[in-house]
Amino acid sequence: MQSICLIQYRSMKHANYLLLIFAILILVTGLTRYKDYVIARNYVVYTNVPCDTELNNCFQFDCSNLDGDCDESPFTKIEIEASKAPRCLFENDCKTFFCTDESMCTKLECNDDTVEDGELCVS
Amino acid sequence: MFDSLIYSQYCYDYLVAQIDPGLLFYTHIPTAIIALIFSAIIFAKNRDTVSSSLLMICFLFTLWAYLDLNAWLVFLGAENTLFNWSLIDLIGICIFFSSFRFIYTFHFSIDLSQKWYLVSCAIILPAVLMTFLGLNITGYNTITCEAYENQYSLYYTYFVQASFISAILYVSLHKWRSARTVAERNKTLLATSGMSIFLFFLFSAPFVVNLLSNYTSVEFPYNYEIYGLFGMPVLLGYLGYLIVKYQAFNLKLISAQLLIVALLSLEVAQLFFYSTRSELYVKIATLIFTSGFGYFLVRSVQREIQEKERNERLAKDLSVANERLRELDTLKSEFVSIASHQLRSPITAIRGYTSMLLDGSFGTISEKLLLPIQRIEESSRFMALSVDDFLNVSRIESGSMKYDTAIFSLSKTTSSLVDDLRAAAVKRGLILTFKNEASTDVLVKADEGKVRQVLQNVIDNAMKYTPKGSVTVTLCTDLDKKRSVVAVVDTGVGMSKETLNDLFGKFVRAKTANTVNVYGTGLGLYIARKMIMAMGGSLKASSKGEGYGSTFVMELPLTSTSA
Repeated sequence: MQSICLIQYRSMKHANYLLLIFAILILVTGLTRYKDYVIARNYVVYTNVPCDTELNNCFQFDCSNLDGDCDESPFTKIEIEASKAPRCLFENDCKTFFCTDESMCTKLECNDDTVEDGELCVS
Repeated sequence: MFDSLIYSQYCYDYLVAQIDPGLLFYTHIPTAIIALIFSAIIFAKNRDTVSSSLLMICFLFTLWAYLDLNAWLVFLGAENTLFNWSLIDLIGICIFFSSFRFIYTFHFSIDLSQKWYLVSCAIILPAVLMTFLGLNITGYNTITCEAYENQYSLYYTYFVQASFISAILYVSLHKWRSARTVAERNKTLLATSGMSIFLFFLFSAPFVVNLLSNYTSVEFPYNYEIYGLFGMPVLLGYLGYLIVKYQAFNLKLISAQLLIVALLSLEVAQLFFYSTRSELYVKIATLIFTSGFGYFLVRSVQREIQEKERNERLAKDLSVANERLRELDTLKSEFVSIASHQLRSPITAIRGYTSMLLDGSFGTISEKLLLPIQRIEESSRFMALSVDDFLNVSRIESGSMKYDTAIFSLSKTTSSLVDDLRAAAVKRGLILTFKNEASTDVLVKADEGKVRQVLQNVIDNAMKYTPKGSVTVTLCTDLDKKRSVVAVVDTGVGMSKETLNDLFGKFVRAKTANTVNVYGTGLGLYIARKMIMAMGGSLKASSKGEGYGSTFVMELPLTSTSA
């Protein structure tokens, strides 16, 4: 029959192993995220780019209920792979932008399904 | 300040419009550093599971603060924001688990059982997997410079955090109920309160932020998240109080140390806010001055505490030594008692036979033998008295002295005793007189034999130490205090102040005692006083000095009849 002390000791050893495994798991998770986000830039970027209302259905912020500054210029919503996105997208100063590779970039047209609260569709 | 680090000017402008970067550093860096130093000191001094759990909390908190701060510094680039943001919740969950482990080990002084570990791992594992697979972050919004979080992942994080808070409250309640002392309950309450406040701040801040961002139009809701960090100073405050008040973690920190650390931390934090260079220099100078002043203050208080502890140790040692002395005294009394009993029987035989020889029971004894036999009889009588003294002391100290209490007339006893001793006084050339100043018969409730023994001892002493003159015994009553008083006043050699101080001690004899009475043991007055005190009275002595005579006053309570 095993002594209580021995059982306790072995249980503690298992607990320590468990903690170590968890620490390694978290470290590996951190490294994976670093590789994905920082090295491979493997993430989706959501941004707005200027939109020509004569060519597309564009979004526009509904400024009617807002006081103060409100940008009423029409825009298109873009979802793009970060690795394919030009730097101007991150700085929000792309004058014109077109999704050339449809598999990497999605352009969202404004309609009843895509418009959100506080936004309007203009064309 | 950050010019060389700015990767995205848009995000920098966006951040500055939202919050003062100085406030971010103020809330993140000092708190994390203090927590890490605090736990490292505790771990260095006391390497056990509780300390290691606390160190783990503080290490994870520092990591969390680092990730959170980096996530806030959005101008460092989208990748930096996403990487740090993706790990914050997972590290937050680990803090909650470590906090539970800390509370458990603090309460029960053992590590979590394997069952608790497995349950905890089972709860944490999905969060690890979601983070590992990148499911907790869905993308990056360049307009707000923020990451998009997966709402389901977020809700799961809240569930895990709430589970650990519940587990903490559960084990704490269990401990509080089983606590045997008030101090143990207070410790449980303090540790649990501190930890709950810390976790509640950490848990509620992102929760509130999420609610604000989803259901209200509050501008910049994430600004409220930074207040979650203030839970850590609260926890440290509670732990500091536990250390000072209850010596938790077996540490003897002092309030002065904690106050100085808190003061310095505040001053270091102030360094993040300055508008001009001269203001910064003034703050640095103040910090240096406070550090120096604090160092000397802490050293001084520490020295005082060491001195106090040394005195306490000495007092404790003295108490132990006193106890040992008392034990030795009891052993001595027992030894004297046994030895005296062994001596008494042969002395009684010697006295009996010498008395019979002197009485002529064994025929007429020659003149030559008469004097030696008289000497034997006299010596054995004194020896018997000495043995009686030893036995009395032994009985008094062991509490086995018997008192046959009864109401008797103190007037008659004193008068009769004085009559008995008058012949001896005349033989010494002294005048022994008795004055009864009481208006009625003085009745007392005491052991008559012992009162008589005490009075005889006092009058005998007075006669021995009075070479010429008189010994006056006066009886009176103090009806207000319901006391009977017998005063024995002599015109003898008197006593110095020093002699008076030790007069009623054991084995105390006057300087000139050997010239007066060679057989005295120095126990007579000690026994007399103890006996009178045991009967509710008192025996006191006074003298105006050597050559001015002495006065002995014996008091006994009057019975209701005489009063």
